[in-house]
Amino acid sequence: MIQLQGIERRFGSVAALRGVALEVQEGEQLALVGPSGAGKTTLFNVLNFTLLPDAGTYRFDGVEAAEVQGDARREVRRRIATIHQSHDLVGRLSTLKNVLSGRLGYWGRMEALRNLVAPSRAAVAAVHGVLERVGIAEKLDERADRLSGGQKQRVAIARALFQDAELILADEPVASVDPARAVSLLELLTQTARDDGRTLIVSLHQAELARRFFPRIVGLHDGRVAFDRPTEELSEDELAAFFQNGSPSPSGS
Amino acid sequence: MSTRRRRRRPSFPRALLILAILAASFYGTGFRPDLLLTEHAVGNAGRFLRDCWPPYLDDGYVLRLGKLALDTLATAFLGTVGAVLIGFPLGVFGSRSAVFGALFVTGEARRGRLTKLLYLTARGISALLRSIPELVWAFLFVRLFSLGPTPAVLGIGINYGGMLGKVYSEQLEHTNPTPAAAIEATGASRFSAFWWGLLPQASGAMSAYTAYRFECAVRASAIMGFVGAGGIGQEIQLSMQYFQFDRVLSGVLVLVLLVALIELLSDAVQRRFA
Amino acid sequence: MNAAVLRARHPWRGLIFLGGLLAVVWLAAWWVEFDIRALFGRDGVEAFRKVGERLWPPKLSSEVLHNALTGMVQTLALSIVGTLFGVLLGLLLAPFAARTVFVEGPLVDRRPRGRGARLGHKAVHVGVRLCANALRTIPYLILAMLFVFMVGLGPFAGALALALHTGGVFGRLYAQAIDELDPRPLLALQATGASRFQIWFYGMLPALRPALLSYTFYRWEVNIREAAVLGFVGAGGLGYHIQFALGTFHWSALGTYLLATLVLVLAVDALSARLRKALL
Repeated sequence: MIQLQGIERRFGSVAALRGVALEVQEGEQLALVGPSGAGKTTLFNVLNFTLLPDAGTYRFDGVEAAEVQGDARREVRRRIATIHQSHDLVGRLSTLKNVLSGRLGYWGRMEALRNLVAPSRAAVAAVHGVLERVGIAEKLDERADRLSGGQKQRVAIARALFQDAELILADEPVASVDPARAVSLLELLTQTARDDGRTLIVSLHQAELARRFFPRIVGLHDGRVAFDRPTEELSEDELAAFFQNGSPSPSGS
Repeated sequence: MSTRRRRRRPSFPRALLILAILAASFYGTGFRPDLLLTEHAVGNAGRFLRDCWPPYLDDGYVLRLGKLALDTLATAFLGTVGAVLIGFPLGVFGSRSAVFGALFVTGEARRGRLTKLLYLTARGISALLRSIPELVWAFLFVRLFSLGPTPAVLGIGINYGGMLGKVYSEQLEHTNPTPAAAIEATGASRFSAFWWGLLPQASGAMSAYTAYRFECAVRASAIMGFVGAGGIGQEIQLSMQYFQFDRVLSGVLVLVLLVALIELLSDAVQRRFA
Repeated sequence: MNAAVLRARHPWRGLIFLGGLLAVVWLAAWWVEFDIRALFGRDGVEAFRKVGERLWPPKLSSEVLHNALTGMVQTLALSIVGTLFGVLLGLLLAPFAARTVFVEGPLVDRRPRGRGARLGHKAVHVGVRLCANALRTIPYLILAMLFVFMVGLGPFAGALALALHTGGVFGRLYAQAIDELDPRPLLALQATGASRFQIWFYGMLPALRPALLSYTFYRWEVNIREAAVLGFVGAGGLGYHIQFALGTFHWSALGTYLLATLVLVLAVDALSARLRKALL
């Protein structure tokens, strides 16, 4: 489903990605680990067609990123849901509207305006259902800027689920919640993705969570793929060494 | 305050320049405080004060003033509605974030010649509309169409449309671009990203400013009578011309009451959205 | 649970609000007999076209140019004098109109005094507030007419009207700014034994400086527009020529005067924005 080859991306003089290659099959779930500054967020922005790579090719389900524009680009983008690290909710809108906005890619102008003023009962019911799954149905009419960090996180997840996308990208989705909540949110994400047959890529900085929930782990360091292995082939020590030195093998070997 | 900013003392030439400008301004306005103390001035002031009390509060007259106050209020309201209809598109197309998408982090900011032209046109129109005072616009429309409130509505709508256009565009530019970018990342069009991601962030400030402008519109609408555009101002002006100062005072009292009421309302709206 | 939540919501809430707004608009339009056709009908379009043709090109005879130039200078002078006196009057009124200085709060003189004195204080406070509010609410053109009645036609009447009106506006704004001041530095000053006069000059004015400056420049931009219409009641400035040209259907001269107004107002807006940036 995803094919990345030699992806490079610079911001001014800073190289965020330097030759990333990655293949992900449909329905796969993988964790992207690495220290901050490794290029995880940039990689997500390439994956969801926000940024074009300076060099290299990216294909999503056969669609080449550099070659789509306008409506075609929007049609690809609505198949990819992103849970942003800073949530990026619209503060003055209610939880309901924030979750509804996940479907904007499917609506024409009139429908978009209509749902902003008066969402249909069916839409409200659907949003309510998604909010129940992430456990904050009672915040349906609360303004997003009045929610706690953890609640915002769950609204962002609900928006992504509501988008009904084939690929879900989650950038540090458990960074702003407590450990117990982190476990339940990851359970929710992996479980729903498995049930609905969605592909899931989650970036994490906690090694133990990555090992526990994902069958495949990709380590990103300094804009390069440091390793890409099934979890069972990756020992705890190797992962710990990666977090310390940026390489899965102990230094010196 | 900060270490970099020293307290600037105006240099001698600069102080001299400021003084010269002030002196010229006083000269230009024929500022002669002694004129206030001439026999004529004191006599007229005394006559006004003597004649204005008690205010003329005949039942029929108060009723008439009430009707005129409602005229003034309705005119201000319609003018504000017109101003929003004019100012909203001007504000949207005159704001960088909405037109160029320069603040969207999509990396493909629009920089076409056409969008630039649109942006400059919107800014230019709103500058033109807000620079000619509402009373001048209204007088122009009185000459074009008819006496009565319609020119007043147009005058307020056009002048305030320009002001709203400028302020709306500033408020839209003061938004956080990332939520709109996140909405665009779901495959939404720029149109949808604007209505769902950008506008809701600014809508509170925009509503509060519109409420403030409505308050100003009531004051403006009250003087529209000076160019024959109706309302309570016309009545006050006529009473003034006929030296019926007791009627002037009752008109002013009704007007002050109306403005105070609208201010309370506008303050409440502004607090709600602040 | 789900059904209960849904039943409690009204899906058409937003539309009801819009409908209500439209109804009020319609009611207001009916009340003042607003004639939208005058604007968009054939006559309206025709009238606009004619006026456009007549206003352009603006008349550039020496008399009109002279009027426009002197009018511009006088309007500018009116706006400066009006704003300056407004600031002075506002600074005079504000301490009495502010609650924290005069009625209650940390800065009120704590010396024991009689009931009568307390009531007197309160009366001054209320009186000044009323006065500032009256000056602010009475339209400046009505004030200008009054002063024309007193001192005769000419810009002096306009300057007085603008100054008083601006003073009322500033009196209230400054008082609000004072009431919103952080009291702690002022209390510290008070603790050193500073008199209330000293607190006003060394504690409050410096803290108020940014707010005062930004209000002042904003108001200057308003005042240049108001100064441009003072002439409608014979109180000087460009308004007199605009009114005369409109009243006598001198369209091409009107074009010149409107252009002069436009240039002047835009110039003041730009200058005020620059000064504000430089000083804040």
